[in-house]
Amino acid sequence: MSLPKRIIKETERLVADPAPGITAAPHDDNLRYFDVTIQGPDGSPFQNLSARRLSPDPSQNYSDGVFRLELFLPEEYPMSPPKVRFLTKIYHPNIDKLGRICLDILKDKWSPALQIRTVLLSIQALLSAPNPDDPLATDVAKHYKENEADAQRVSREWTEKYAHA
Amino acid sequence: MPTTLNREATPQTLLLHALLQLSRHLSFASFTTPTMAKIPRNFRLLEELEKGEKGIGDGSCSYGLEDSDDIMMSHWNGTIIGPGHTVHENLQFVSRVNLPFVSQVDGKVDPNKLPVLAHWNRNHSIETVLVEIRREMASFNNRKLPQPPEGSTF
Amino acid sequence: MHFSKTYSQLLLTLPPELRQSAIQYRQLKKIINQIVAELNALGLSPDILQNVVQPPPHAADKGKQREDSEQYTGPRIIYEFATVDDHVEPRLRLCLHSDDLPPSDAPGPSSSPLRSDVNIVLPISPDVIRTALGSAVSTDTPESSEGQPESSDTESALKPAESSHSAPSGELIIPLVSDTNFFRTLTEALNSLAAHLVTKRAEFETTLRSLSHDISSASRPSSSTSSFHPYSPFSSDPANISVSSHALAITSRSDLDTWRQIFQLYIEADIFQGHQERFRGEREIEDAETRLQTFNSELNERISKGALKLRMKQSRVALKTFMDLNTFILDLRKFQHVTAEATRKILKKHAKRTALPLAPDLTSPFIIRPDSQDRALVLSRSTMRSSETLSLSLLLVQALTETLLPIIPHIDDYSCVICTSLAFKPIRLRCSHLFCVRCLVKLQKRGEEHCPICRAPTVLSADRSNVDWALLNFMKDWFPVEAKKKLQQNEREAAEEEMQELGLDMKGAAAAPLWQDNGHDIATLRLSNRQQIEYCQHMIERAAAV
Repeated sequence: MSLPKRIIKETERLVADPAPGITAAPHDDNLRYFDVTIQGPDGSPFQNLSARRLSPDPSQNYSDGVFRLELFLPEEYPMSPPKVRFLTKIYHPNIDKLGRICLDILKDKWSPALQIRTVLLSIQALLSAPNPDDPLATDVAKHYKENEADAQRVSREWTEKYAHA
Repeated sequence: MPTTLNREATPQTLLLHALLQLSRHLSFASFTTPTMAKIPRNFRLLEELEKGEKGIGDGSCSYGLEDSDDIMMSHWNGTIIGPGHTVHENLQFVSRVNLPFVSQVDGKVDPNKLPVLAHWNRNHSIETVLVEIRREMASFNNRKLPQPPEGSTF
Repeated sequence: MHFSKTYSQLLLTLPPELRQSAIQYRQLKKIINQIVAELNALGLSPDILQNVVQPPPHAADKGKQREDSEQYTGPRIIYEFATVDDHVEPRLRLCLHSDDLPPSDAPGPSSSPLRSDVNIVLPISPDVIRTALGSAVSTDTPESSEGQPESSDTESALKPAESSHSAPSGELIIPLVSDTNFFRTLTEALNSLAAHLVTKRAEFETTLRSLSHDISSASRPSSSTSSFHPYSPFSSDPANISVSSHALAITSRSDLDTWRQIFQLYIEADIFQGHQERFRGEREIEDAETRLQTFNSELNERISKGALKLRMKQSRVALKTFMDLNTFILDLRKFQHVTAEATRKILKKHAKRTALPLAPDLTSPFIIRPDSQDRALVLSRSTMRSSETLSLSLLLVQALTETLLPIIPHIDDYSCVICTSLAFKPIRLRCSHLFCVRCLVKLQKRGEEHCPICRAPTVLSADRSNVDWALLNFMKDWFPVEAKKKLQQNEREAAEEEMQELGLDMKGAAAAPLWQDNGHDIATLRLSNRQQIEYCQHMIERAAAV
């Protein structure tokens, strides 16, 4: 059976006209399974400054200084949300050791009017605005609540260490 | 996590360590639901992990990641509670077990000798493997096999 | 170096009508030679001028330079523009300094700390200049010459020759005849170009209007009369309104779907303006040209393959006109570019050859300021090109898209956000949001209460009364192909779902609807029990799907 029209449309737009700082490409052998990269937002502890320093050309930084994710559209999509996970290690109160993400729109607040694009933009926004009150990684959340500056320092360290190509 | 169960406290626990080393590409490469969407390995394993963390079936088998940082989810610990009324009952092993499909040198399971692995099907899961091993342990041929002393390891 | 040659070659690629209104580069070059000769006659050869001349006061506003010139106390020449009558008059203002040294024998103040390299003796006396230019020379008081060159009150700067005795601290103004000719020629060229463009724009708009009319009539919906039943709650029982998919076949001649395809291709080609995340705004000429060519060959390929059928002669003519309008916009872009380039180059050459400072930018005739009807060209400064100005080509692109594209309703405006296909049959929730019946039924089966768009609790209460009949009829008219396809898709999906619910897997099996009867009484169904609701929705779906 063929891929639903909606998935084809979304994929075409994702590839042809990607959102700034975000890429998503489907696997050849599974068009519901996407390799995703998200650039850490500027000014957040997830912006990879060292990668930025390496290249004066900003477009070069798309390939390094980014977080890798994987995304899967289950059979029921868009009635059910896509499944998304970080593959790059990240020190963030709403993302656990296995890269699982705590984000309401991926769970009970999902709406079929949302899209892959909006989901990825929301995840990018989550990097700018961690929410330690609704934690998935409790130790990180505790760190963020007790000493935000120090927690951000660790986040930055992890970003420098892991978030590159 | 089942793997952390204290042996002393639950002497009938059988710990199958490193038995579930999952290939990144082969055996768990992908899975198909009866309809169509092909669930990628990682998302399938995440589902299984969640199921395993919650506890499954009658509780005779359980499993989890060996290392909770293992982002590729390659190494799993399975725990099988030995079937009652067999020699495996009360047999506690992290390790040494005498079964036809287990190498007596290093404890590795020979996939060719364990039907569930020999005839791998995408719809099988980690749970299936553990349940099948447990079934093998309880089988007529294996239930009375002589076993190494308690506490020995490979 | 050889711009004049490149320029004439570039012009040759453009239609003659545009070519004829191009600025005369060679002629202007000749005038520059005359200016140089005139200045030489004044004793102001480029070598001399470049050391003493200063740009008009307003053009030299860049801090430091200004300070320098204020400290420089030797004789100065200011190059400035005055508006005289209807034209711009460039002239030189000689500042004779108050240190009482007669210009003819005063050694330059080489002691000046900031301009120590300048040791200029103004080589001519006012008398010489007066003799050379006759009555055209006048002196002026500093006060009356303060005005900006653009402002008309500097007309008073020219005074009769009899008042021309230069006061020791006074200034001497020398109008430059050839230079006046230069700017007059250039300005007139640009002015007539502007007038020509106004005509072309009007022509473009006229063509566009008639094209719009032609496309509208060529793509009129096929139904329009007999099968058109706008829903009225008073005139008919909604249960009796049935929509048969057979009625959706295209019966009469209309190029509706053809024009929809053409416009879709046109939108995707994104020829003149980018609308993407990575690029928005007016494209480079080369890019636009390539895109227009790609669009054209794609169209031709589809036509030759029979994928795109222009049934009506009217449509074929209209398509030709459509392409012509696009080509015109592209030519205009090229012409705009080459004119700007020629203007820039000739002004640069003027400055280089005469050693007079670079004249301020001329407003481009291609720039439209929406608020001003006055297209008269004045020498103006580049700040005039503010953000509210719009290039003529872009204005035409906008007119084209805003006039033509809305003729054919676009499917994106009538799509269900869930399946992204035509929202057929259209269900309008109480919160006013629109979905196709299939997706709505899916939501209801999942027990989802909230509208996917606004999260209002309007999903489960939706029933047959939520069918938007007016829109349904509109869709039948304007999207006959899409509606038919969606209807078949809905039926197939519903059938598969039903089989699955019955525990059968009918993958691969022909999607034969299980029901052919349309006699279900669904008017009485309004139930609270979950199962009954599901049944009810199922019936609605059936009713709507048949």
